Amino acid sequence: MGKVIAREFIWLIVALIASLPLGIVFLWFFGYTREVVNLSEGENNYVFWIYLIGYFASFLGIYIMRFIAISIKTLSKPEEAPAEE
Amino acid sequence: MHNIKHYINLISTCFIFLFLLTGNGSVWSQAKPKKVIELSPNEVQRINDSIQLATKERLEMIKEKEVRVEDKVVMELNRNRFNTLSRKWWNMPTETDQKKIDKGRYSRYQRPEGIDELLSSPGRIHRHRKEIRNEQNIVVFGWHPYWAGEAFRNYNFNLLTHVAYYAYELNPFTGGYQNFEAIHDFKTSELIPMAHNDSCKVLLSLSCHRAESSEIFFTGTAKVQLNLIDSLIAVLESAGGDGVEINFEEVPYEFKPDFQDFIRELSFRLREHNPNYTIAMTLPLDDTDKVYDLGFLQNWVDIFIIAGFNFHLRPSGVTKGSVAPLFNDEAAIRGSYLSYTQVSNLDSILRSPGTIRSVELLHNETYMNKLLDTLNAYIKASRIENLDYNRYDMGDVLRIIQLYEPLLNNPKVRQSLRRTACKVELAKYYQPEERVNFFLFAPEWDTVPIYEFDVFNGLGGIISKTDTVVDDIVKAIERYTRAIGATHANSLVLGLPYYGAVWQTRGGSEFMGYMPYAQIRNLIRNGEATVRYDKRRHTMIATVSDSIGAYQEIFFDNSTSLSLKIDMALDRKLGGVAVWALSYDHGYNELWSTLEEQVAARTEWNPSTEQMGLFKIDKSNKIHYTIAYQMKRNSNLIFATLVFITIFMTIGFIFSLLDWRVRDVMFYSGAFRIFYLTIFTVLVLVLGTWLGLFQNRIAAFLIGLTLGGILIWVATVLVTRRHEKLP
Repeated sequence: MGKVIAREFIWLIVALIASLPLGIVFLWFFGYTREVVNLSEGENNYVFWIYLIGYFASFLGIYIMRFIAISIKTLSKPEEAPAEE
Repeated sequence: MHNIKHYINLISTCFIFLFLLTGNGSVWSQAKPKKVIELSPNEVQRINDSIQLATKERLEMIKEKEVRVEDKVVMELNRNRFNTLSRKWWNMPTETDQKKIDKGRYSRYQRPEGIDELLSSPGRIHRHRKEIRNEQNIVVFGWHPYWAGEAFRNYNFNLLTHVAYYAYELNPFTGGYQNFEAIHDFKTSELIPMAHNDSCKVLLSLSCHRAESSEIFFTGTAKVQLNLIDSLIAVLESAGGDGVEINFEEVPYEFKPDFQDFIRELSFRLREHNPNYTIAMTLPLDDTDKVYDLGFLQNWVDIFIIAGFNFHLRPSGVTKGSVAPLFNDEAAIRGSYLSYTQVSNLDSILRSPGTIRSVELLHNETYMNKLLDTLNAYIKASRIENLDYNRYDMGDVLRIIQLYEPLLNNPKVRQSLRRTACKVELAKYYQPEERVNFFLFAPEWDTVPIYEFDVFNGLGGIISKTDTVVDDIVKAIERYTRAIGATHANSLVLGLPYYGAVWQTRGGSEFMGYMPYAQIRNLIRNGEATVRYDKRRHTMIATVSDSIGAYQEIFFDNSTSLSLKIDMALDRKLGGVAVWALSYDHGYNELWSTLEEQVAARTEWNPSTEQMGLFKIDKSNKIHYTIAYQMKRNSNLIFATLVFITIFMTIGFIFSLLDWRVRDVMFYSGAFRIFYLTIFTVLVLVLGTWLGLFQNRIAAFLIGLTLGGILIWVATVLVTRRHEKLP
């Protein structure tokens, strides 16, 4: 049980950290790259909100990725034959 | 033997061919002699007779044709008659009437005659005591037509919330504008900075009039509409404008869906560019075909302006009458009590035709005592017998002077009176047109407070005839309030005219066009016109006369009638008022005062505080954000998030494939393989189309299908071989 908690905690930390650069990738989707400078205050606000949405989407995506992999593996395992009495 | 038969056949074929080639057997026919027919004289005569008969028949035929032409004329007449009757039957205008309607409808958007001369005279700046506040949530909208030039320098922007610059005249073929000069002025004039200084928004009117233009615009390619939207954004951006007023007239019913789609796209794109842009739209007086579906449009439009003018234009023709009638059912049976307050000198007050109800002298007590002494001295000097009055009551003294003509005309008395400024309330009574004898009590008098003092000294009277008013402002407001729902009535704004409709009365009645308010006022001031008040419709009627007599009638609105209409609009919970057009009162201030009194200084009873407070309109948010609007607005964000999540899901799937058991399950079944490859093919197609690899979709589909099939076959063969090799 303790191992499971430890593994989930590590995954949580990894997801939180990995989402930081992935949020920037999300920004790149909208064309906001390093080259884009001189943004107005309103646009800066907009960029911040997009980054935040991207961050949470990445965090969620990492868990969805894990769940899908786990689900498929679980379903693919052959059912163990019942023990013969 | 066989060879001989063959040669015979060949030779006979050649002969037949030669025969056909030489002209269908004509070689022999030429050699035949021609047969000559000899005619007897009787037979010649018979032939001649038959020829003559044929000529006669032809002549008869021609005559018959002439009869047919006559028939045609009769038929044409009948057809015209039928058209006329059916137009009457269906309440449709004749061609002549249609031309008059078009003149009435579209001459409003043209430069009025004499406007340049009017605007070249010095204007007057209105000084206000109260201004419209943001918390009132009220809309005071005014159009500034491009031909008004620099007249905006006299506008009181503190009493306006929105000014619409008229106009971006749409070129329906391209989506661009037709009047380059007007757009140039919009971009460069000081209208926008001046308005912004007083927190007034400046919109750009987008005008597309006549059904033909709408037809061209809506049947054009999507590029035309996109071009228009881009062009509008560019003009607004360059000028620093705050939105658009959509001024489309006569959109045909069949283009209703196109019109709605266009409004949605326009509104969306404008707000996408700048969420603070205001979108206004002018609604026609009567939308019989329900082209303007307010239930749909209210999601995309902030302000709807009911064109509360041009009521004289009916569906079947132009009728002489009020431009903006306000209905009052009881006007015919009541008498009228006209009251007006005037600031003037005592001399002119004592000569006015009305009854003096109260006088307030605008001087100090010492001056009044001196004046009383002087006037009393003159009364005494006039030696009127048996005179009994209160020497210290100014009212009594003035009444005596007014009644006794030698005193009133005494130059010295006049001099003293002329020097004295005063504020006076005058009153005049008018009997009802249709008197009704009431048994127990008579109805109260209607009260008509008049504001424009100098004009109404010569008020010709009040009329209150009861004839049929087909449509009026109240009905129009009720129609649109029903259409939009009572809760959203505050999005409606009542449009009111600053102009009058001119009718020629000499030699028959004919509609002549429109005249700005200031020009009508000038006519009255110069004594060329007399004024009457139509109490039934709350409209002013100016009669213009020359040495022969009256020759023109102008139906217009002044501060009195406009005040009542503004009152009515705000009492019915509308969002405000609009005026066409702002420069039309150039040189006069009373209409600005009306806006100030009726809107900015308007108060209402506040039941919670039990006090009179500032008039406010309950309006939480001007834009109604629906789910559809939010989805469209954030479609990029939603799409990007979904793509992001899909990428993670795919990565998850690929991770799961690292396990051999998963691979075995996933690729063993043929149905699974077909499923993956179909998805793969669809993906390739979608990506290819997105990247522009496939120009022809059907060809791309067929290529995809063929490739998919080959891939499935190859994959199936490979997997089967692999399985066969397995132990």
